[in-house]
Formats: sequence, C-alpha cells, structure tokens
Amino acid sequence: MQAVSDESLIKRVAIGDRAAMRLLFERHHVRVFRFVLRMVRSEAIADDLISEVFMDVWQQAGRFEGRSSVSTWLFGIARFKALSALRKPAHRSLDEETAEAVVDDADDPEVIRQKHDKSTVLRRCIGKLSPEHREIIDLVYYHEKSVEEVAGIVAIPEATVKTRLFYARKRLAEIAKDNGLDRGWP
Amino acid sequence: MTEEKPVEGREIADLLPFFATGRLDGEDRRRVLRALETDAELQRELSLILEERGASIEDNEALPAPSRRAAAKFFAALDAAPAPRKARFDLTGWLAARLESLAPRPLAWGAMAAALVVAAQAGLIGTLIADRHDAHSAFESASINPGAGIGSAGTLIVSFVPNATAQEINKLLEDNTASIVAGPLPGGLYELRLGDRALTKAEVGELIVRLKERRNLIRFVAPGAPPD
Repeated sequence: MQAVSDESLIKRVAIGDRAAMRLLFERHHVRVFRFVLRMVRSEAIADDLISEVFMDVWQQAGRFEGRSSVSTWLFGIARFKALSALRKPAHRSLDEETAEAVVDDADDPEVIRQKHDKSTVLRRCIGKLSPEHREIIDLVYYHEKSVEEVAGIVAIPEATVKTRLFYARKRLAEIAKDNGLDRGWP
Repeated sequence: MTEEKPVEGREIADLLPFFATGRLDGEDRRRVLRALETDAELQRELSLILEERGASIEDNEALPAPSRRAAAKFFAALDAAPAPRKARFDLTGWLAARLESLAPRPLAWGAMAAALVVAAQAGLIGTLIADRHDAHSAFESASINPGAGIGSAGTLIVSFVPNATAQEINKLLEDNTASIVAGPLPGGLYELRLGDRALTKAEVGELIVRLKERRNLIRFVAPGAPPD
C-alpha cells in the first residue's frame, strides 16, 4: 500500500482526524525538533515548541492552501515559534548539556587538526557560523530544501537564498582556514 | 546582518548546493550537468559542497532526538483539544482524502468520479458545485509528495565514496537491478540505468531515498536527465 501523502494527511487533519495528526507528527517531529533545537539551543524548550508547532497545525490545517509543501509550512511555523521563544527572557538561558553538544568548544586549531579528520573540522566550523548562516546551511544540506522552500521558510527572496548560502559557505571556508583547513575556495 | 550582495558570474555555481541535494529540476538541472562536463572549477566546487553537506548531515544527526515527554505532551494536548473549526463540511475533500489512502491514484480518480455522481443524485449537487474547485486543487496538491522535484527519468546520477570497492558497488547495483550506463563523468559522477523498464517518479523517488541511506557507499545521488 502506498504511503499517504502529507497533503492528504493535512486534509484529514482539517476535518478532525486525530489519527492523521498523529501520523503527521511521527513523520516530521524529529526534523522539526532538530531545526528548532539549533535555534533555541535548549532541549527542554525545543520539546515544548514542537508540541506548540503541531497543535498549531491541528488548529490551522483547514487554512493550508497547498502553495508550499506541508514540510515547508511546518518549518515556517516552527521558525516563528522559535524566534518568539528567543525573545522571551526566560528562554534565553541555555540548557548546559545541549549547549555543549550544539556549541563549538574553543580548541586550538592545531589540536583540532590532530584530533579529528576533515569532516569533524568542518562540523566544528559550521558550529561557528552566525545563526543566519547556520540556518541556511542546515536547511539546504540537511533538510534538503529547495531554493523556493528556503525562501518560504525564512521569508526572504529566492535570490537572497542563493547569495546568503554563498556567503555562508564563504564564511565557512574562512573559518576552516583559520582552523588549519585550507580548502582553496573561493 | 551579513552582506548579501549578489556575486557576478556565479549563476550556475549557486545552483550546485541544490543540485547536490537533488532539489534542482528541469532546465536548471540540465544547465548544471552541462556545465559540469567541461568546467573543472565547478567540478571542484561540487566536491567541496559534498564535503560540506556530509559534515552538516553528520552534525545534525548527532543532535539528540526529542524526548518521549514531548510526544506524550503533544498527544495529551491533541486528545484534549476540540476538533478544528471548519466553516462547512468539505465532502469532496473528505472523500478524496480517504480514497487516496485506500487506492492507487488512478483508482482514486475513478472512485472519486463515481462518488460525485452518487452524491449528486442524492441531492448534494449544491454543496459539490461549491466545493468543486477545492476538490480539484486537493488532487493536484495531493500529488506533491516527499519525492517532489524528482524528474520522470529512468536514470540516476550518483557518485560513490572514494573508498568504495568494486565488489561493494557491484553488489549495490545488483541489489537495485541497476547498471552503469555512463561514467565516470566529470566530477566522478556516474549515470545509472534502473531496471529494464521505465520507472515512475515515485519509484525513482523511493530508490533515491534508499540509496541516500547507503552513505557508506553513495556520496551523492540525484535524478538523471529525462528521457528523450
């Protein structure tokens, strides 16, 4: 039996089908959680936010017009929730354990070179990007969003998606070079 | 905010990250493939992008998953929440959603048409006329699925990880009834023919998902050029 499409699930959610809502949650909540966690850097807050995101979907599914994919719509809601949470003073403190996992430490570049391979160095360098650059790198590389989808989620023009990604990659190359990994680009 | 002025001469290069993730369609994908055949700089940049992508995936996969508490909290809230408010009952949407979940799309179309006739005979024609546009949109959007953006091609463009052995690659090809029809192309890419018949978009999409999971062998995979 073929998998039910997200769009079909949303139509069922819109008429109050809780089983469809559960399936949609199971399908997307891990990626939405990781996307939000990158922004708020607290597992506890990210846990709370995904519940809010999917409750919004439950309440607003009838308004989904299908102009974007369901996944893009979800990420757009999640991003808004995360930004709102970051504006609340109580949510600014980091969960220390998560911060350690998410934020780069301050190893000496040579130590990093010695301890880790190129991929690990790159991972650490990605961790040093600004939030805007980090966000676009993750949306394109990990979440595999198209130009149009990133534009919809981040609310920027499609041309800006490409230029922001270029500058994010350029900055990544600079940080990598500072950490002893000269990739010879750009 | 960071400076975001466009950079001259990067029209094709700026498409490479989306090419690398298989999220480039139609003419844009063909332009990138054509340029990669001859442009060594572009080939090198694609290689760097694949490294960056690998690092980003590893980094995100290392993040924790949401706690069980998060799911429990959501399900409890869902069970306690009232049903979503709706202006009127969308009969056609309701039928479409259920039929699609039960049958292949062509059958769903046929069943949908039959259901509309029956419903009209039952005196629901007024409601259906009002909903007809929505129903049409519903089927169009329902065709968008996680495989969206995948072409109708029966071929795939892949690159293998540098340390993949010929034996491992042969096994992978056998397991997926695939064969190499071109390559190595510039940038270390290969074109794979899949099976002995034209695959549907959904089948190509499923195969791409399966191959992406073989990260110990596959470095990059994207739909090939559409058939002539």
